[in-house]
Amino acid sequence: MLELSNIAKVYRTSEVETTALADISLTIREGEFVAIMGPSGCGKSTLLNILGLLDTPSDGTYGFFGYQVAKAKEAALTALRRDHIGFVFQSFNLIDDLTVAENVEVALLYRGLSRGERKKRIAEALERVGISHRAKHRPQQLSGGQQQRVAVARALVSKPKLILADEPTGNLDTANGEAVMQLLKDAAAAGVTVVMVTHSLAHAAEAQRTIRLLDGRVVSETLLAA
Amino acid sequence: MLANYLAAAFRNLMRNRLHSAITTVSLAVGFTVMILVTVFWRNERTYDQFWPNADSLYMAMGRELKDGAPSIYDDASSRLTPLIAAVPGVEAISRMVGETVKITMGPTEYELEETVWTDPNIFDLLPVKAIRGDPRAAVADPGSAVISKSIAEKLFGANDPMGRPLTITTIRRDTPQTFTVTVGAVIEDRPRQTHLQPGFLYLSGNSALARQIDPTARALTYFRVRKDVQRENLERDFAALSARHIPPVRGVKYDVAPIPIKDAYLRPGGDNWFSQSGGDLVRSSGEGFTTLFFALGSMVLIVAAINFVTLMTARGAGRAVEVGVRKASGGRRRDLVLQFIGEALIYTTLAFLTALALSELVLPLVSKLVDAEFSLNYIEDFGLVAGLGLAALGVGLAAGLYPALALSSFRPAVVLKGGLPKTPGSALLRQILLTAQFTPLVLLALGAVTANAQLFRSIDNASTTGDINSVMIREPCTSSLRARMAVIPGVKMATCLEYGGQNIGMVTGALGIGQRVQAEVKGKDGRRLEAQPTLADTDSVTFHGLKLIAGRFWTSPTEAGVVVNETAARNLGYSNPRAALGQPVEWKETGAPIPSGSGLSLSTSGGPAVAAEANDPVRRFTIIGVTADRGGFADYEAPLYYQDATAKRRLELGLRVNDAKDPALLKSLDAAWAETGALRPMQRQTYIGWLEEAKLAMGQIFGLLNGIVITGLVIAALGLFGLAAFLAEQRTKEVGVRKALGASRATLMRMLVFQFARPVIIANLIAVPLVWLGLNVVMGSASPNERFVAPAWIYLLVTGASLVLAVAATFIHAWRVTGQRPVMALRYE
Repeated sequence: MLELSNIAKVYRTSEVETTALADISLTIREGEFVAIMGPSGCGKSTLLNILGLLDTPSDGTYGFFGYQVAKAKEAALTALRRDHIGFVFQSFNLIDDLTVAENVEVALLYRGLSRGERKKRIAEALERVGISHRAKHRPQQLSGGQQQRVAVARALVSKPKLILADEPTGNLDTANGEAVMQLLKDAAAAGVTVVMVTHSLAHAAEAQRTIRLLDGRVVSETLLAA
Repeated sequence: MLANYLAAAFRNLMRNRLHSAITTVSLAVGFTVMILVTVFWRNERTYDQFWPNADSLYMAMGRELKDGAPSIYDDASSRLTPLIAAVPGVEAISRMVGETVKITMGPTEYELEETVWTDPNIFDLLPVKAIRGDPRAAVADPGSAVISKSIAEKLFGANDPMGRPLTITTIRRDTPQTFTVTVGAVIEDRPRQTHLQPGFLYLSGNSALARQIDPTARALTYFRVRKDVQRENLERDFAALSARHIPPVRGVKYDVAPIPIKDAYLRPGGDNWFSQSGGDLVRSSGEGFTTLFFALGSMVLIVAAINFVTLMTARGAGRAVEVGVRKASGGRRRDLVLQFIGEALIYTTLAFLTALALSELVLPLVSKLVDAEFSLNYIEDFGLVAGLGLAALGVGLAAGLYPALALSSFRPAVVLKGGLPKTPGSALLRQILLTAQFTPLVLLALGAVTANAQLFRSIDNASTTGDINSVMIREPCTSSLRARMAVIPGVKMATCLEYGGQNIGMVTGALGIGQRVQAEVKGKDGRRLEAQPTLADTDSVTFHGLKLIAGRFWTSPTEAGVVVNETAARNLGYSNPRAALGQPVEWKETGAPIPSGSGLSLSTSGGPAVAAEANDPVRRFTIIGVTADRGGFADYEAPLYYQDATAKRRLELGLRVNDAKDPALLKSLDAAWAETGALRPMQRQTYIGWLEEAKLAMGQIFGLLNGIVITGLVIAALGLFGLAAFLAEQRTKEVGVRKALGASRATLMRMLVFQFARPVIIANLIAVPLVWLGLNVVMGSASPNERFVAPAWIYLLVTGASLVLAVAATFIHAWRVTGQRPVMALRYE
């Protein structure tokens, strides 16, 4: 379970102070599929970064599956990310120099798994997203939809408790967008908590709950489906 | 994990071929220079280590001391032998005295300079490998000779030399002697790594002829000490010996010093840093040169390593996503640092392997350039190769550490969202590193161009003076000899003169190779000028082609007076040539030729040293004429000619000829010498021959210096080229915005090229004043003959060339990025 209480994030430079998030309190249950919406600059990505332990809040508390992480050290956050979180990004963020299989492997590299175990899991993940026939290809040789499926496979391969998807369909056409959404829904159905930032009402409607942000604050929460 | 890292590293390397090539090639060139200088260093420092008991073997070296430090060294006098033998701890002593001989083999004559008279125990101290016969017995036998294999082959070809007679004539003595010995033993040539020439003809010191040798003659003197004798104690005992038995001569102090045989090649004069001499029997080098080249080689390596750092950090943007993904996936910073250091080591390994291959190609060329045999044998020199490999990895590790820390510090939240990674201070650090890279290079380039210009100026100057077509007959100038030579066809003028003035030795003087100053001349208000006063007359100033600009030359052969050149007049304190006329100058004559082996005034009685300089004359003259400068070092060389009928200096014969390289003329001169009844060949030098030898010797040193400087500049320019490629790419969006707002391509080009070349501009701003200050302020107080002069064109040339290089390296990238249409540039990312 993810429990955010009075989370704030303030960026300070020598002359300017920008509040990205203010007084965010949220609870996200295990296995829940949550969509976060809001206009550009409302703090969606900042919230996702905090949820994904890529950033720390300026204020408030954050319970991450029982761990209090708001003030945790980088090493502890890294370990939690490694063990529990998968990421999917709008721009895929695949490593150009690695093949599809090697890109997926990156999510397992730091977990101390044997080579055999890694190969098995990679094969399963690629099979699951329907891209196993492209395992030896490089990202530039794939379409956008295929690249995002690789990114989803990379997020799934470590069997995370939480998948964070930042506008995963933003760069895709409708058909590919739908395919990726289906993969995320399947993951949620399998018990993985999924938090997705999106601008698409249609894709948000496929989540169980939609949280709307405006100017760094939660302005509404809508429970859409059971 | 390793496979994943390697895959990323190799594919990244292949994807960025230009960057990878520049990084690898510049590191490889840096490593090649490191290998070359290390092999050179090793070669120079491992001479004479193969002798048995090498740690207990010493040479006795006579030295002239200047301000207490050795400035010139020479073989010790034979007279010192019993004194050295009596030094506590000396177990054995042996000498070799050189003799140039002619060997007559039927109709063929061979001149052999590598001939020595030697004490019979020489092979006890310096063992040899016998091929035939017993060398120890043969060298003790006055009727036998020991010859090296190369000499045996030269004289006898494939025939067995044992027992064969050798008819030998001593050709350098005033009264040549001819005698016959038989070959008693043949020995292997010495390995190349010794200060002694490889092959000798050994004649027994037990023979009657050997006993005719001047007892003060220079001798290569070797001695062995007990193993428990400390070098400091030995030096102290030798210092005491010198103080007791070797008095100063005309104010110049001498000593005899124990030089370890392992130093005989590199430091034969002790602390004589740039000493470099040699002769028929020995070779030597200068420790200073070895150190200088090692330092320069290290600098090139640092330049290459800086390329590595700047290029790796500049291309950080290209690895940002990877860093973000790996961090988001749980990669710790430590993991990423290790990954990037691993990549650095891959580059390093590639570069080192390339460097080994390059070294194979370059080592023979360098060997040829410096007349040595440099080689790297991977089996025999395994330790050295392994050491070089480890050093290379160390360099790779050091150079890779900062980029690894910088790249691994990217924040995933930023870079995964497409933001440009910013490493605090990395751009500033790159600027500092580039400036640090170019500053010493510009300094060195300025130094190298100045030194080259000085050399060429001196050579040009020497070549254009009348001296170029002169022959120096190093024999006493008798009126009959002078008259006989004067009528030989091709001889334009024959005159008696004192040598010392007309050479380009100041080139070497200014490089610190050791230059003698023969007198300290006092001028106006106590001003002092170090100079070589040269005895002259009307004929000799004509001979040298001196042109008066004030005053006159001597009107009669008995008129005393001094003629100085313009520079000397100025340095003596006179504002213009006319002001110097009629002014007094004086000096104490201290410039006697170096005593033969420091034994000239040897007091074997053990009594107190005689202060011989008390009897030296103080010469006082009036300046009667000032001559025009000839340009370059020659102005400092002999700025002071004097005529003094009472002076008793050695006058030799100078000939001005039509063509000093004409073999027929030289043959005629030798024939005329033989007509005088002289039994030995005439000692003569052609000025042009001397000049060519000097050019050759300096050419080797300058070739290496220039090569290293150019290599460094090329590596640095390559780095700038690669860096500009990345920086231009990173500025694509900015360029698009500026163009959209109306900036012209020319404006943008100026902006980018200036920014890319800025470190080179800063490097010039640092280096040029430093060189100017160094030459004009720090060295300004040095005597003129020890100073380099850099005219303004040198600064302009080096600064201009470095800026052109910088612009050339960056122009193409700036051109490419500013040529893009704004719409394309703005779409970048």
